[in-house]
Amino acid sequence: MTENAGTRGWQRLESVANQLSAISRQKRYDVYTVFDWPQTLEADRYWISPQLMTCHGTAQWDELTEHQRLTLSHYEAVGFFSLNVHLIRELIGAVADRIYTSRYPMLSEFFHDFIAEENVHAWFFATFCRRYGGKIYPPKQVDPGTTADQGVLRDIAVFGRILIAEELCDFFNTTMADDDRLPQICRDINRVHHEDEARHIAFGRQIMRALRDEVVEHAGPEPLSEVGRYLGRYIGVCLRTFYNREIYADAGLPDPGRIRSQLVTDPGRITAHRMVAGRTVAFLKRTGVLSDDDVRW
Amino acid sequence: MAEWPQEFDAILRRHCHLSHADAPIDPGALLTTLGMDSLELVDFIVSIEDMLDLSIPPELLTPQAFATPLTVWDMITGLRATDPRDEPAGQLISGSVPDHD
Repeated sequence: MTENAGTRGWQRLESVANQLSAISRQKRYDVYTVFDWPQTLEADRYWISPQLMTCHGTAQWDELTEHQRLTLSHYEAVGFFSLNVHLIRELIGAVADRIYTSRYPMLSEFFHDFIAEENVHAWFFATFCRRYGGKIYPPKQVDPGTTADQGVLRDIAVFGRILIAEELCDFFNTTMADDDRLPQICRDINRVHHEDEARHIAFGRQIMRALRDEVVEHAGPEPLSEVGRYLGRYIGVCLRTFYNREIYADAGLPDPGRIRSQLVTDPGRITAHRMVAGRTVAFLKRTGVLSDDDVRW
Repeated sequence: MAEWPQEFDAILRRHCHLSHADAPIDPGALLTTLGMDSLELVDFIVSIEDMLDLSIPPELLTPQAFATPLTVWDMITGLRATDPRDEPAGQLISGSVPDHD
């Protein structure tokens, strides 16, 4: 790693961030009027694409009646949007911690746009959950902090988490934005979120490349491997978070704890996990952050 | 050795990074010093919920409750005393779902 390569990485990041800010300001919308919220949602439709449901591809799925599948899809939609709310709470805090700091002075303008967009995303996800689900599912989390304690290692772990969470959610968003089995409001929320997140993901990938260069330059390859192992575990935790015993209980399924523990290790679900996270894992491997053995599928 | 059942001991050992499989666990040791970071803690919480067959209320997911093995076990003991089983919420804002089967 040369000084020039590192500098070029940060210059490239600043340029990308400025372009993304300009697009963000051109495309800004009024979140309070952009959606048409119906009083109720059709109960005889899926609210989340069935192929994205946690039972799909398993014996458990085959045992469910169509009525049970529909009901479960309603709670899993509320669960998915609840996850988004909590991820956004975490990432807004992380980005706000870095705005106008000496480490990222050239990114503060972009951070304003990022926080503004994430704030409205949290609002429409939460509104869906509260309006149609009557609640936001709480996170299974005590402390959202990271293990990497200092400077660049902490930052690559934090921005790595943000990128992973955004890319995993985006896989769901892109699938559901065009799924005409879903009510219009479900498609619209997924579409609008995807359109904004495309910019955040572009930024996230660029800052990961710059931070990767900085870690290698200042700390060497072993700390980068440590970050890779941490982010690999984070991918596994994110994927397992979708399996929520409260959702199975709310959907009226018997023995929700048994369902959760069986599904989370079902070979059919491991295949699904690889599909959902495949694009993200491929990127992190290409950048040298992640290796094959880091992800606990 | 603190007095907790084998089931909880097995979960603790699965999620802590001990020097060897049979290493004694200090009930008062911080979970972080036993090798449990914030990611492992998420899986630890879910394992406890599976053991108890109930969801831990969000208000109990505190750093104080998850400080040491002993504080976690105290929290579990309290939960078992109240036994807040998962109940269907029944709060979806939709019409009734037609039963197709």
